[in-house]
Amino acid sequence: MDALLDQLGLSELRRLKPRQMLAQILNFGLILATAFMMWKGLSVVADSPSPIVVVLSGSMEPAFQRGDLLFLWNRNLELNYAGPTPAPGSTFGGTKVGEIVVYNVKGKDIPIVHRVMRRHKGAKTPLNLLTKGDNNYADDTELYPRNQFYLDREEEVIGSVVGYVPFVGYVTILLSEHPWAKSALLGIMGLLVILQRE
Amino acid sequence: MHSTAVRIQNAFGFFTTIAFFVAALTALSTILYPANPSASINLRNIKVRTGRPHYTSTKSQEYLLLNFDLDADLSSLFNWNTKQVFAYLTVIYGSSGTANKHTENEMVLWDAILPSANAAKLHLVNEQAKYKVNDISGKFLESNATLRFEWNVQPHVGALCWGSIEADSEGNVLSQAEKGKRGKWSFQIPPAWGKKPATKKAAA
Repeated sequence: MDALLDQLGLSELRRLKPRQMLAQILNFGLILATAFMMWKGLSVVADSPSPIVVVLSGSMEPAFQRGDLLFLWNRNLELNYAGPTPAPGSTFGGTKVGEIVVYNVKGKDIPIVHRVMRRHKGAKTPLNLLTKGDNNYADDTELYPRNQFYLDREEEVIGSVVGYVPFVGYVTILLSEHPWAKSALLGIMGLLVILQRE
Repeated sequence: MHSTAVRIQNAFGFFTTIAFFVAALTALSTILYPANPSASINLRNIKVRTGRPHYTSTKSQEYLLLNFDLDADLSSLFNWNTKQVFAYLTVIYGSSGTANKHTENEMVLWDAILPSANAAKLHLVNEQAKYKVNDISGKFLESNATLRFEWNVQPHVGALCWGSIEADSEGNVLSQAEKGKRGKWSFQIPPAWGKKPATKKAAA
């Protein structure tokens, strides 16, 4: 075992006392748990299953490019809302035309970030939206399932875009497009945390 | 303690902290730039025609055809944190008290991406709607309609914000009274070509 560690250049590990080692592992666990807790906390605040998304396609260029980070808000569903027409982008009171929504089409896993071009609301019908990418020529009818021409706000949309940070999410695109990068990153992170002695 | 790894880590940590604060300050700084966008609109030639959405489809539906003049100045929305402004003109119509299931409808007629302050002075004459305008039910039922000019400011970093200019409220600075009878924002959607108005039908 010792020889193996030496060969791998990890002789540092041998010098760690078991107690120290356990503390480091606990530390690593704490970091992971904190990140998870913050993500879930944000999810509760924004009422969205995925409060932060990374832009995956160029259909909203030049505003949103691949790898940009978007913050979503999903408390503007417009169920039981009966006030005056709210301005687009308002945090309460409903999704308006001109807002940028993120939706998942049934049966497909990829979240799509596009702008609302049409909105039809009735008392007894779901809020129907039609979306289009700013950089696309045609609207999204082709992206929806067969014989579906409008989105259902409550069922298919996971939130409206309220905040924007450029480029920061590109790392997740790298990780998902190059699977080896994921294991490499996790390995390096784990080793660094365990080897740190302070 | 002072190994290369620790130094790289510290430098990177410092860099991310600085980047975070610069981004946060940039995002907050936009409140220092109040904007006063203006717009006026003139509607021409509102028609409704029936047609089929696709040559293979058998169902025919109503399409609203309209031309408009638009004068707008959104250049004041541009500050150092403005990446682009997305400007769009929508038609809002309701059909309450009718057979139509959807009583609140809004759709985009025309839009444009404005990449710079120079491009944000719009002067359109007799412009056609950029998109097909058809109701979800296929019929407009001669509802009353209003136009609304809206915009979305998209920042380099920070919160997105929206604004709009509407016609119906009294004392609206932006309907531009100085232009006289221009600035027509509201209208009734006419019946489809070849069809009698619904009011006459009710009388007969």
